[in-house]
Amino acid sequence: MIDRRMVSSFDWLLLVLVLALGACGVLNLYSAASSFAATGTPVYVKQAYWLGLGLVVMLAVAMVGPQRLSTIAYPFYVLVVIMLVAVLFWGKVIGGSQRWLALGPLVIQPSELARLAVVLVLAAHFQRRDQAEPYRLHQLLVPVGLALIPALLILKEPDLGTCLLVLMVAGSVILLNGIRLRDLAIAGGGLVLVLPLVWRFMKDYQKRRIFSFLDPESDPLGSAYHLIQSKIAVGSGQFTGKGFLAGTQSQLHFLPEQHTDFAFSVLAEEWGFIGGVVVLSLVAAIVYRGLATAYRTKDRQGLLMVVGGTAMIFWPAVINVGMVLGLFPVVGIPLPFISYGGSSLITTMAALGLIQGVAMRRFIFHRP
Amino acid sequence: MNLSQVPKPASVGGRGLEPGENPHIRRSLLTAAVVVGLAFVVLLGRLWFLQLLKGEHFRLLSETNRIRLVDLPPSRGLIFDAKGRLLADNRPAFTLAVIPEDVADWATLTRRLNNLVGLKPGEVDKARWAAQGQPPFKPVVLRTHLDRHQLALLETFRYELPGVKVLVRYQRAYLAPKLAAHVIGYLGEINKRELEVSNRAVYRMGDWVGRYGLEKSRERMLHGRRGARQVEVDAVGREIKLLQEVPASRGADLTLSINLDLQKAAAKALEGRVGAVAALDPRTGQVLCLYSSPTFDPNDFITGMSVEQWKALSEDPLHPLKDRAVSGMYPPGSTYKIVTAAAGLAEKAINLTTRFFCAGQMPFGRRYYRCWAYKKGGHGHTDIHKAIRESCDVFFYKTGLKLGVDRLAKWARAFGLGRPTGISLPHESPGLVPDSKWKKKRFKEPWQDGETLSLAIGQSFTLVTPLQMARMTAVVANGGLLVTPTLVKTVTPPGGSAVPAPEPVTARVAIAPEHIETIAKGLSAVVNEPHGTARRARLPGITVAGKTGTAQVVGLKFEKSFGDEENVPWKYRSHALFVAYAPVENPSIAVGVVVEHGGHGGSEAAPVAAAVMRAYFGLPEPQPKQPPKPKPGTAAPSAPARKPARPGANP
Repeated sequence: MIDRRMVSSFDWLLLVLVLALGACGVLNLYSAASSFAATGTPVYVKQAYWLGLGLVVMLAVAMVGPQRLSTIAYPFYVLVVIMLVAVLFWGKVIGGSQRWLALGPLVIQPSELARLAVVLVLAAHFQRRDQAEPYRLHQLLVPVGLALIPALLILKEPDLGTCLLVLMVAGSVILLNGIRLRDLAIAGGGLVLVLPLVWRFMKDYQKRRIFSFLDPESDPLGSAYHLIQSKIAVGSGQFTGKGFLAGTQSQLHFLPEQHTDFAFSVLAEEWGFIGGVVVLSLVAAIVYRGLATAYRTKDRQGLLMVVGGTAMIFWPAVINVGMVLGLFPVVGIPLPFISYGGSSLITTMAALGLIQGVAMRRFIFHRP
Repeated sequence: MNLSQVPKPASVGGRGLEPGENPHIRRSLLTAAVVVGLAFVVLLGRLWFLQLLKGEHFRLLSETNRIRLVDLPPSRGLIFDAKGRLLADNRPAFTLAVIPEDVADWATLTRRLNNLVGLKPGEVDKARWAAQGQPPFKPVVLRTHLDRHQLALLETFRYELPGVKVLVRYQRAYLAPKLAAHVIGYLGEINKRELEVSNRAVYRMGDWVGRYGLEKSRERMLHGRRGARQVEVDAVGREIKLLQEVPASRGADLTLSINLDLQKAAAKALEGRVGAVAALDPRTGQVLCLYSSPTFDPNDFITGMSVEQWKALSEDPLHPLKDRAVSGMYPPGSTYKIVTAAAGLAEKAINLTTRFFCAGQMPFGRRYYRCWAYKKGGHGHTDIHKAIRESCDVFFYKTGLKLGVDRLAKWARAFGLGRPTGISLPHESPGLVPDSKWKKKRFKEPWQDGETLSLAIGQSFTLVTPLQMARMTAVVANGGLLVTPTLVKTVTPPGGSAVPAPEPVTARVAIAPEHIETIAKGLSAVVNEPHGTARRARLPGITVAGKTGTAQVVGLKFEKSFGDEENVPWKYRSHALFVAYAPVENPSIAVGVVVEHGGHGGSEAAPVAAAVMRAYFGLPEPQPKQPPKPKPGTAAPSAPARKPARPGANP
C-alpha cells in the first residue's frame, strides 16, 4: 500500500523543475530539427513521448524504493556486465559503434544501464561495509574494481563518452564516503602515474580528438570546425538571443549534431544569455535538490543512491555544456533533457527515480 | 519543502542532521556542494564571456558566416599487374539528379524521365519526399548507375529537361574481374562503426573502403588523402566564391608481381574445376600467380547486387568467394614427403645410403600399412632417391617412425607450414601442423605411433594451403631459404616514381646443402625419370622438378565401396595435389596446385602446374586435347578412359 506520507514526502518541487527543463528541451528541439527532412514523426514529438515514458520509469523506480533495489543490486549488476560482454560479440552496430543489444523485439543499450547498475551495486557494497571512520585505500579496491569492469567493457565498444560518465558517477559515489586527505593524495598520485599507460592504450582517433582540442588548427576539417561554429552560435546569441527559430547558425546548418550533442548551442543562440542562465539554473537546482535530499538521508545506502542519481545528472550536464562552450574536448555526451535521445532520457529519469525513492521514504527514518 | 532549500544545502533545517552522525560524509557532501557550485559558476562565467563580453564579435562572425567547407574526396590508387596491365581502375559512373528549384513543371519532367530512362513516377515522388527540408538548390538523386544509352538520351534532350543534372563520380572498375578477383578483392561502402574510429580527414560517409583482398590490406596506401575547399556562400547557402582549396591527394598506385598471363593460364586449366594455384619466384618470394576456382566478379560488389544475386553467390555450394589459394586448407598428401625426407636427413634418421625394403605393405601394431604400389608387389629395396621418385610410402613410414611426430612437426614448421605465410592478404589461413601436444589438447588423447605413419606421408591431421605448398617447394628450389610471399612489387605515390616494396624477411632452413640437393634430384626424377609419378608435368626445353600428391577425402574402404573409381561420387574423390619448380638448373618459379576431388595428383594437378609454368616461360600451348574433366556436382562424370593403377595410399 502506498503510505500517504510517501505522497506528501514526494519531492514535488524536483518534479516541477524536471518538467520545466524537459519542456525547454522539447521546445528547443522543435527549433533545432525544424529544418531537417520531415520524414516520420518530428524529433520534438518523439522527445515528448520519451519524456512521458521517462516519467513512468521515474515513478516506477521511486515506488520500488531503495530497499528492494538494493536486494537486486548484485544480480542486476552481473546481468548488465553479461550484457556488456554480449554486446561486444552480438551487438548491433547502430549510430557509430557496437552499443545495442537486440533481445527479441527489444533493442537495449546496456551501457546506459551500466551507470544505474554501478550506483546500485556501490551503494549496496558500502552499506554492507558501513563504518564510522573514513575508508582506507585498500578498502576501496573492490568498489573501484566494480566500477572499472563495466567502464572498460564500454570503452571497448568503443564509447569513450559513456565510459567516462560511468567512471565519474562511480567516482562521485566512492569519494562521497569520505576518504582521508592523505589517502586521496596517494590515489591521485597513482592516477597521474597511470595516465601515460592509459595514453598508450588509447585508439589513434581518441588521441587525435584530444590533439584537435588542444590545437584546433591541427584539424580544420574536423571537430575544430564544429567547435568554432558552436562558439559562434553561442556567442552570437548575446544577451537576449536571436529569437525562437531565428538562429542563423542552427537554421543554416553550420552546427553539427545540433539536435543531439550540440542542442545547447542552438538554445544559447536563439535564447541568448537569458536562456542559457535559465537552463543552467534549472539543472543546478535539480542537482542541489539531490544533494539536499542526500543530506537528510540517514542510511548510507540511500544516501549513496541519491548521490549517484545526482551525479548521473550533474556530470553529463557539465561535460556537455563545457564541450559546447569550448571548455572540454568534443566527446559525445548528451545534455540531459535538452539533447534528443530516448535512452539517455530514460536513464536520467531512472536516476531521478532513485532520488525520489529515497526522498519519499524519509519519514521512515525520522518518525519511527 | 520550501524554496529556500534549493540553492544551499546548508540551509536544510528543521529535523536532525542525520549525516551528522558521520562527519566524514557530511564534509564530503558539503565539498560536493561547493564543487557543483564552482562548476556552474565556471559554466555561467564562460557563457557570460562568450555571449556578453565577446557577443558582438561572435554576432558579427555569425552574420558574415558564409564560409563552408566542401569536401573533396581523393581518387583511389590504381592496381597494375607485373607487366603494367591495368587491373583496377576508377571509371566515371553517372547519376541522374534533379535540382528542385530549377524544375518548371514536375508533371512534365516526370513523364519525360519515364519515357527516357524508365523512371517510374513513384520514384520521383519518393526522392522528393526524402529530400524535403533540404535547400532547393541541392541536387536530389533520382537514379544511380546510368548506362551509356540513357546518358546519350539525357544529353540529347538536355534542353527539354530543366533542372535535370547528370552527376559524375568515379567508382572502382576491375578490368580482369574473373582472373584476379580474390587477390585484388573489392570495395564496400564505409559503415558507421568504421567512421567512428577513423580519422575524419581520411574517411567520410559515403566513402568506399577495401573489403577483401589487396583492396582491404592495402587500404591505407590506396585510399589517398581527401582535400577540402573553403567556399563563400550566400544567405541561403549557394556557393559564390572559392576562398581556399586544399586539393585531394590521390592514393598510391600498386604494381603487383602477379602476372596476368599466368592467371589466364591458371583460369583456363582450372576451368570447370574446383581448386587453386599458387606460384612464386623462389628467389624473391614474389607471387607470380594466385588463382582460385571457381571465382566471382568483384564488379558486382561495386555496382550493387540484387538479393537473388547475392544469395546465389554467397550460398553457392562451391563457395566462389573463398580464396582457396591462400585460405583453402588441404591434407598435403605425398607432397609432404618433401618435409619427411628433409627431416629424416637433417635429423640423421636416414642418410643418403639408407635403404628400406618395401614389400608393398608394412606391419605395424595390429595392422598392415600399405604402400600405394601394393598391387605391384611393392618397390623392393628403396633408397631416398627412388623413394621420392616413386613416392614409396613404406620408405617414408619407416623414416617417420624413426623421427617421431614432434620432430616431423618441427620440420614442417621450418618449411613454413602451420602458420600464415605473411602474404598481405587479410583472409589467409594458417593451415595446421599437428604434434603430440596439439593432439592432447584437441582430443584429450595421446598421439599414437600409427598416426605417425600416416603423418609421414601427409595423410594425418596436417593441413596446408596451396600457397604454403609453393613456398615449401621454393625451399628446395632455392637451396634452403624460406621466403615470405609478397604481392606488391612497387608502390607509386601520387606524382612520384615507383618505389620498390620493402624486402620481406627470408629465413634460412637449417638443412645441409647436400641434403637439399638430394631432395631436389629426387623431385627432378619424379618428372623426368622413367618411373616418376609426374611425367605429365614435363615442358619442352625446360627441366621441371615436382612431387605429386593425392589426399583422401574419405576413408579408403568407403571409397572402394563404390567399386570402380569412376563410380565414386565427386565429393568423395581424393584431392589431387602437385608441387613443382623449374628450371631445375636455376629455378625461377615454384608452383603449388590443388584440384579438389580431382583424383590423382600426377594426372589432374600436374597439367595445371605445367600450364602455368608454360605461360611463365612463354611456351606455346600443347596441341593434344585435354582429358575430359569431371564436372563438379555431376554424379557420374564422363570417366577418363585410362585405368590408373589404384594406390594403396597415395602417390
